[in-house]
Amino acid sequence: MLRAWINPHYVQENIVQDLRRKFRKNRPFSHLELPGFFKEEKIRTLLPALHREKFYLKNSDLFTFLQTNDFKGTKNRTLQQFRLFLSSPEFVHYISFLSGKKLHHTIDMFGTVYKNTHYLLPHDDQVEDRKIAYFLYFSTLTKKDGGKLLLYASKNKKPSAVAHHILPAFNTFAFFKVSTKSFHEVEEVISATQRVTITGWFHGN
Amino acid sequence: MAINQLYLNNSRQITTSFSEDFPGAILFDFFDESYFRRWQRTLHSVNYTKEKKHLTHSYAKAVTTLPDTLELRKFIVAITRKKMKRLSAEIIQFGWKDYTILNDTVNEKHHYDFIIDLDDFWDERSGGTIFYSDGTGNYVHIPARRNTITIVKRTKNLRQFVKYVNHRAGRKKRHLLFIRI
Repeated sequence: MLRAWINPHYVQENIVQDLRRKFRKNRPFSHLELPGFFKEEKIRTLLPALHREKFYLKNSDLFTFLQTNDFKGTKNRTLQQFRLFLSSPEFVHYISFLSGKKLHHTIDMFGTVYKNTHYLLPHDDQVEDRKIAYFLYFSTLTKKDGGKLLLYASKNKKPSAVAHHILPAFNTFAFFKVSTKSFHEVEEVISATQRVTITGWFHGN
Repeated sequence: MAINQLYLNNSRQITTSFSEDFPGAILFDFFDESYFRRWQRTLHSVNYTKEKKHLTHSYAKAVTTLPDTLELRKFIVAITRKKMKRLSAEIIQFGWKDYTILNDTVNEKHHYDFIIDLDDFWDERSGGTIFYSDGTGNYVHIPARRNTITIVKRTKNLRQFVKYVNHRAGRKKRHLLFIRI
């Protein structure tokens, strides 16, 4: 099943071992950024399916962006299949191996769109039993567009300074370990280029 | 007169207009025009210090004592029924990327907010808007308008935030004067 969805490069034994080491070593907290992660023919069907979903404006002190409902309720077969794959025992085992985290097969999955001026301020994602936060990018942004995922170094369980950033690129799959240190932010989008993602969490005990 | 006569004459009635949903009042054209301009001039004579705590706020702040505030003091006493010897205030300056967020760990020791909108014009599409939240998902939006005072009686669950200022603000800054009693 993995080979049906994932770029074969990412399932090679030596690469998987290497990624596992990288995940652990990456700073400011454990994360991976995997460009060209899904097979081209799979990801190309996801984008139009995503655009057929209804997006709702999410607006609070912490953020402004557009989000779908969780895909567990979607009637779109392409999104259902993608959700089924991400929550499959094979893929959950794969992420579990890379991250060293014991995960169960419940996941959350949403589509998000950040338009011009949308943002998400620093926070750590720690809610209930979230263990791994993940992002699949459908947009390729440049520095002039904003919209980077900023990862913060922390001191005394508070974010101190941006230590790393991920610039969204089409078909990049990124994920990080949710912890008391996992402070991150979506930088404001400052152009007309939309930042489109599928995002969510893997859960564990 | 420094304060709009209408409000001076009816200061005690203002509190009776406070509702359970929003224990506050928004008073437009609050100061006499020349007095308001005097206050606006203080914006340029104070020194702002940038403060940034990622999880709670980002802004520049100036602490100031206010010019000729006897009438304002009397007005505030009439509203709050609390005695005070002098008024001190903070001017908070919000530019691009500034914000405050709701923070449950903040222990609010004051009982009233008095917020004076000091800018001639602020485009709310740039963010920087004041909101009050009662903790149940209800928000009250305070419109940005020059020479307006917002009076809010702080209750247990009532929290305030200022929406993130986005890049549409450019180099413009928003100035709000906070008196906390």
